[in-house]
Amino acid sequence: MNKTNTSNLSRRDFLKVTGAGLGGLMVAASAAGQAHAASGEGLPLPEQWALLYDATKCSGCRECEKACKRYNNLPEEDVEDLSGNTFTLIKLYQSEDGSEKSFRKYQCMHCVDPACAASCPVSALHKLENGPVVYDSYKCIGCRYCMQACAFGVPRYDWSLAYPFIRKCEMCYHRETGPACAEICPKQALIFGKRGDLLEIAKLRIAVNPGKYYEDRVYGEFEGGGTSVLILSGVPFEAIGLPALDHQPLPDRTQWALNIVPVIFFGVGGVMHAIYEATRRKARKQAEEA
Amino acid sequence: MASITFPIIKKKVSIGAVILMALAALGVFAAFFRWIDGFSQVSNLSDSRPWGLWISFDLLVGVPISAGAFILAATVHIFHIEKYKPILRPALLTGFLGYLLVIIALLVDLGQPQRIWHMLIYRNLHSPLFEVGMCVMTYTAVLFLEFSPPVLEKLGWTGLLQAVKKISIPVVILGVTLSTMHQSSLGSLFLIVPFKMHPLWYTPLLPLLFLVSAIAVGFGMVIFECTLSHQVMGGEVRKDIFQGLAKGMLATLSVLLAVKLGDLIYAGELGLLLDGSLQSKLFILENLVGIILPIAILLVPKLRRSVRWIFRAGMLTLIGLILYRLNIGLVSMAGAPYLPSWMELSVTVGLFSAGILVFGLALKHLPLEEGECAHGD
Ligand code: SF4
Ligand code: SF4
Ligand code: SF4
Repeated sequence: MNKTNTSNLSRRDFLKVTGAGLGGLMVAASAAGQAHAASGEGLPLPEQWALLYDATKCSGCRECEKACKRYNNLPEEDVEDLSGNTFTLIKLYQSEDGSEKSFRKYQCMHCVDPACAASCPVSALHKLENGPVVYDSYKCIGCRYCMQACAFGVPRYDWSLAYPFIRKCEMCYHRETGPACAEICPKQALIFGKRGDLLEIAKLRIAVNPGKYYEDRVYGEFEGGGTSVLILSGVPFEAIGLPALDHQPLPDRTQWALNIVPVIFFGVGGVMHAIYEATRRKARKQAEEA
Repeated sequence: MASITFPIIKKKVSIGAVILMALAALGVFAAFFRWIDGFSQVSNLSDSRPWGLWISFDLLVGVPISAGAFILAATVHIFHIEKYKPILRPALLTGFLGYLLVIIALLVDLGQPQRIWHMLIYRNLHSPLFEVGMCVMTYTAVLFLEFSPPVLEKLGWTGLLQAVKKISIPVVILGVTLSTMHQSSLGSLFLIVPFKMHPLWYTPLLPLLFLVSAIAVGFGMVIFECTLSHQVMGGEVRKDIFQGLAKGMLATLSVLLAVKLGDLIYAGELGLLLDGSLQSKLFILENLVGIILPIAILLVPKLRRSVRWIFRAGMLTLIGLILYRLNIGLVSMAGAPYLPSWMELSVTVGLFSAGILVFGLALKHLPLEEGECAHGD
C-alpha cells in the first residue's frame, strides 16, 4: 500500500508542474481547494463530537451493537458486514497462526472532510457543525456515488427495495448524551467526548504503555484528512480493515478538477468564438475570390 | 434483406428490425421490474458493487459515443469546414438519441428516479456528479435545438425554424463547452477513489483521458454512422470525408497514447503491466485493441486511403473505448466479484436496440442528407 501512496503523490506533483505550465491554473485551483477544506466546519475541530475505540480494551461483548439496534429501531440480523439494518458491527480478527487477535468496531468514521458529502450531487449527506455526518433522506436521488466514494465502505443500501435509501451511522446526533453505543460499553473500550480530549487520552494511553499500540499512533488523527472516530489497535491497522490513507482529504483530489470548470467554460467558449470569427472571414474571402 | 409482413399494419419489416424490437421490448420489461420489484430481484448490484453495468456501460460509454455531435458541429459551424456538412445531421441525431438513452438508463439505475430534478434545487458544487448531471441535462436540450431544423423543415414550421437558426452559433458554442466539461468530468467522478482503484487506471489525469478518448471515439462513431447510413440510404461514399475523419481519429488516438504512456512512465508504474494479473492483461488488451491497433492501421498510407480499413480502425477504437470504460467501472474498482444479471443486460441491450431502431426510422423519414443544417449566416 505504501508504494501506491508515494506514486500517487508523485503523480500529483507531476500535475502541479504541468499545471504551472498551463498558466497557473493549478495554483488557483489548489488555493480554492484549501479554502474549501477550511470552510464548512462550525465548531473548532478539537471541540467536535468524537468517539475513541481502543481495540485492546474491547472484549467483544457486542453490547454496543445491541444498543445501536435498540436506539435506531433496527431489526436483528445475522450479517458479516455493515448493512442497511446494521450501522455498527464488531468483528474478530485473528492472524493465521492464531498468535494475534483483535476485535474491531465497524461504523461510519465521521470524517473531518467527508468524501461522501463532497460527492453527493444533491447535498443529502453533510457534516453538522458539531461533527456528525448525517443524511437527509428527502433529498437523496439514490445515485450511490457516496457508497462509491467512501474509503471505509460505510454507506449501505437496502437492495431488496425498489426505492431504497442510504443507511448509515449518524452518531446519534439527536441524542443529548451522545452515541448509544459508547454509553453502554462496559469496558471503556469505546468512549465519547470532544475530539481534542479523546486525542489526548489516546496519546496518554500510548505514552503510558510503550510498545502496546501499533506504531504508537492513533488511527484517524490525520488519515484521509482526519476522522472523528479515533482508533487504537494492538495489531496492524490494515489487519483490522483500516485502509492505509495518506493525509490529504479525499475531496481535495476532485477539487482541482472542479475548480477549473469555470476556466473551461469561459476558455473553451472564448476560443471557439475566436475561431468562429477568424474562419468565417477566411471562408468569406475564399468565396469572394472564387 | 429478408422481411416479415405484418397483416395488421400491412407493412413489411426487416428481420433485423423485428429482432431489435423484440430486444427493446425485453428491455422495457426488465426496466419495469426494476421499478416495481426491487434491485436484488433484478440486478447483481450490492453494497460492495454499488455501480454496475448501467453506470459502466450506459453512462460511461453512452456519453462518449455521442461525442461525434459536438465534434462535427464545431468542425462545420465554428471551423467552417463545409466538407463535413452532409454528415452533420446524422451525427447530431445519434448524439441526441445517445443522451436520451443515457437519461433513461439513469432513471433505471437511480434509487429515487422520480427525484432526478433534485439536482436543480439541492445543488452541490463540490460534486463532479452534480456537474455531469447538469451538463447532460443542458446538453440534451442543446442537441435538441441543434437537431430541430430538419424536423421543423418537415413540419413546415418556418417561423420557428428561422428563430432556431438565429441563435444557432451561440448554441453550438455552448454545446462544445458543455461537452468538454462533462466528457472530462465523467473521469473526475473517479478521482475521489485513489485507494479503491487499481493504480494502472487511477491517475489525476483521468478527466483528460476521458475527454481525449471521447473525442477519438466520436470520430469512430461518425465513421460507423456514415457507413451505416450509406448502407441504408445507398448513394456514393464520400472518400474525402472518410479520410478526413480518419486523420482526426489518428491524431486524437496518438495524443491519447502519449498521455497514457507518459503518465505510466512518470508514475513508475510500467512494471505493473507485466505482473501477470488479470487487471494488467485487461489493461493491455484495452490499449492494444483500442489505441495501438487503430493507430498502426492508420499509419499505413495505403490503408489510410481505404474506406474499408478506415471503418475497421473506427470499429476498433469503439471496441477499445468500451473496454476502457468497462475496465474503469467494473475491473479497476475494488469490490465483490460482479457480473451483470440477465435483466441488467436486457435493459442495456434493449435501450441501445431502441436507439438503433429510431435512428433507422429517422434516416428514412427525416431530411437528414439534403438542405442546410442549423446555420446562422
Ligand atoms: S466514513 Fe464514509 S460515510 Fe462516514 S463520513 Fe467518512 S466518507 Fe462519509
Ligand atoms: S445515494 Fe443519495 S446520499 Fe448517496 S450520493 Fe447519491 S444522492 Fe447523495
Ligand atoms: S460494548 Fe464495548 S467492549 Fe462490548 S463490543 Fe462494544 S466496544 Fe467492545
